Amino acid sequence: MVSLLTATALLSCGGSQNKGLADGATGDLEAYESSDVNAVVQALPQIMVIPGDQTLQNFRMLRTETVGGRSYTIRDYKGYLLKDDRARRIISAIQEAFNEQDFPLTDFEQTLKQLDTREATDMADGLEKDAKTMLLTTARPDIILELNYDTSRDKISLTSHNYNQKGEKNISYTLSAIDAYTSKVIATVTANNIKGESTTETITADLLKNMPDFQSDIQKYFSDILTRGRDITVRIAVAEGCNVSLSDESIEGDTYADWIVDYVKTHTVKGAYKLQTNTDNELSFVNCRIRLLNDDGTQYGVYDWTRDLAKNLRKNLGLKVTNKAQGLGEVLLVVEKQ
Amino acid sequence: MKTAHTLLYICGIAAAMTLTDCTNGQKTETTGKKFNPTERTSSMTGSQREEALAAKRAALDVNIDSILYGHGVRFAIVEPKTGGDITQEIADRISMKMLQIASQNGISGVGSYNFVLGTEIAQTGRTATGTAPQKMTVNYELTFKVMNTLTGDVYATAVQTVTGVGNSFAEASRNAVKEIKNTPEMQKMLQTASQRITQWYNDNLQVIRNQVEKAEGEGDYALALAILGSIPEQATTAYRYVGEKQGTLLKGMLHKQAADMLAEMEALLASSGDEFNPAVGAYFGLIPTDCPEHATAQKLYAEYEKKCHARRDALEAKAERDEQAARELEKLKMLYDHESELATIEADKIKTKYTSMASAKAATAQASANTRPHGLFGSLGYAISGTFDRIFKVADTAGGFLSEKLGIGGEGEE
Repeated sequence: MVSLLTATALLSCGGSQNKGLADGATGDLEAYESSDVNAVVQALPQIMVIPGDQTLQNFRMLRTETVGGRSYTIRDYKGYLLKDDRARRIISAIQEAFNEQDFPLTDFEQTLKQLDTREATDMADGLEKDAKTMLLTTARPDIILELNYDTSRDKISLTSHNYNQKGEKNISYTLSAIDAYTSKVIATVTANNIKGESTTETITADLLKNMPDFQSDIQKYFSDILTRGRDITVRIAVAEGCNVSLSDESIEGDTYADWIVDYVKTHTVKGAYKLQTNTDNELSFVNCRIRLLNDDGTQYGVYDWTRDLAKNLRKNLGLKVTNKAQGLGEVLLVVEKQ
Repeated sequence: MKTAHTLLYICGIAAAMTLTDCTNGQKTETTGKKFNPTERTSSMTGSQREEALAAKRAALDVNIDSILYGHGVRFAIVEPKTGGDITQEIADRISMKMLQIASQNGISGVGSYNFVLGTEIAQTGRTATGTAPQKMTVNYELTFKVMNTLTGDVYATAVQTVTGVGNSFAEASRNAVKEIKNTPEMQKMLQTASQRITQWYNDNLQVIRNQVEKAEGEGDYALALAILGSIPEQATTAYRYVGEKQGTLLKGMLHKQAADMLAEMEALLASSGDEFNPAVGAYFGLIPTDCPEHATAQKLYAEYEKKCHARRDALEAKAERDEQAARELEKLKMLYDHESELATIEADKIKTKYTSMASAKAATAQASANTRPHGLFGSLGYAISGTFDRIFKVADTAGGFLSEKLGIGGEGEE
């Protein structure tokens, strides 16, 4: 009897083995819809593995260009992906580890291809493209998994051999999870001078060993969002040629900046914010925590927060403003010429 | 019994673990909030909405009056200086953009020698982003101005800041040019400039007269006419002068060009032979009647006309002949077709007759073939039967012969 129960339980878990890939899929949308809202799942952050500058440098895909007396760092990601045959395997191992946690990552190489395709189709459709749209036509993950690695073979050394007597290399790598809006490092895994014959296998094995802790740190970050609200950056800036300065007196008697600071104080979770810049043309805040949900369970994101601020500025102070919020954590409100 | 209980306990734990694993670690965070979205509502009534929509559409429509103010005013577009970022390609693109904006604002042409629309470009920024793929940005500040080249006066200016984004700095520069727009500031600048140009023409009629007469005196009628052509209709005082002077200048230009026209006409005549070419007539028409070249041109044209007429007559006669021949051919063809049809009918009749005969013969042969038995005994029987048939046939013949000779038998007897 007990064995039968156990067998039934096991079958209920993997009983779809004889069905097709799609036929075997199961799910209960009604049950899912009636369950509590999870704000992180609702606005699921996009995570992407992107090669770091050090790795690009090792593959000669990072160079400096001087134009008009100024130096610019030029990064060739497409060139790197073609040149580094290890990258695909290491990235795949990371992606697989996240897949096992039901959190599929967005593929960087595929995103670059998709952007090219979109650019071409947009051109064919005759879509209007302004500078800002073109500037944002990039891979824009919410969390960047920056991967840097090198081996002793990648460096030219006059004082030491690149291999030890066993034919092993010294391999080092760092994988950092960075919040794209706040630039905060959420989780990191690093290893220095681990010995191994194959760079890919050595890094992959070590990464997978450290992956549970790494993912646990990311989960803590999600839990922190659910507990204390989303961590965002807020900028209120004045447009070029605008006839209003943030230090000008508003109709309320105090300055526009004063009014905005008071608003931020009362519209952040437990008043969490830090003033970073205060000039005539820009007010910026970091570590601002905003709520995640509306009362009806719909999302409340940076766009909504900026929209509410804009409404208040228009209604109470008569300012003409534009909402330029982006992604999950970047508020930008522009004060236009009145 | 105790062992059974232990086993039961272990299996129960295993089943519970298995079921927990089935959820793949999906722990549901309890926020206590359900998804129950409320629809966005509007306080507007149906008629209020219709009214508001009509007002919105009207606001989006282009106001035709606003683009007609510059009608008749002409500028010359001055290409920006090249150097640094501004390559010849970029300079050409900027010039084209200025021309588009000028024409969108009712500037009727680019033929003026007195007024120019130009731009000065300053690069104000350049960055390379840290994104993937990397994007390059370039910022330019463009100062557009309409100037009077005679006096050096600047009539109006407008500043536009543009940003270009691309995968390289060169692409970013090209894209920055696309960002140059027909902004309200540009429209205001062109409107102000047009008004001041119109006023300038009215106030400076003597300057225009001097320019025109100088050009006329030097025999440069084309330049004199171009100066006249740049005077806008709105500059009413100056425009009256256009009416007075244009005819004289045109005549002067035609006189000056009469020899050239004659040469062109002669060249065309040589190449045309006796074929009609309307350009010959056009050149002849441009040679004034009071020019010495006119007599020669008239004589040549008359000869040409004669040749063309002769060719036309010959062609017409040939056409007439061709038409007659075609009619004869048609008649013969009809006759032939009729006879051919009769022959076909006869042939069909004969064919049908012989086909029937052949069919009957074939049927008989088939029937005969079907009555002949097959196999050894069949053939033997058939041979015997045939022999008897032949004997009876001979007997019949002989009997008939004898009956005939002896007078036996009568009618109706077989």
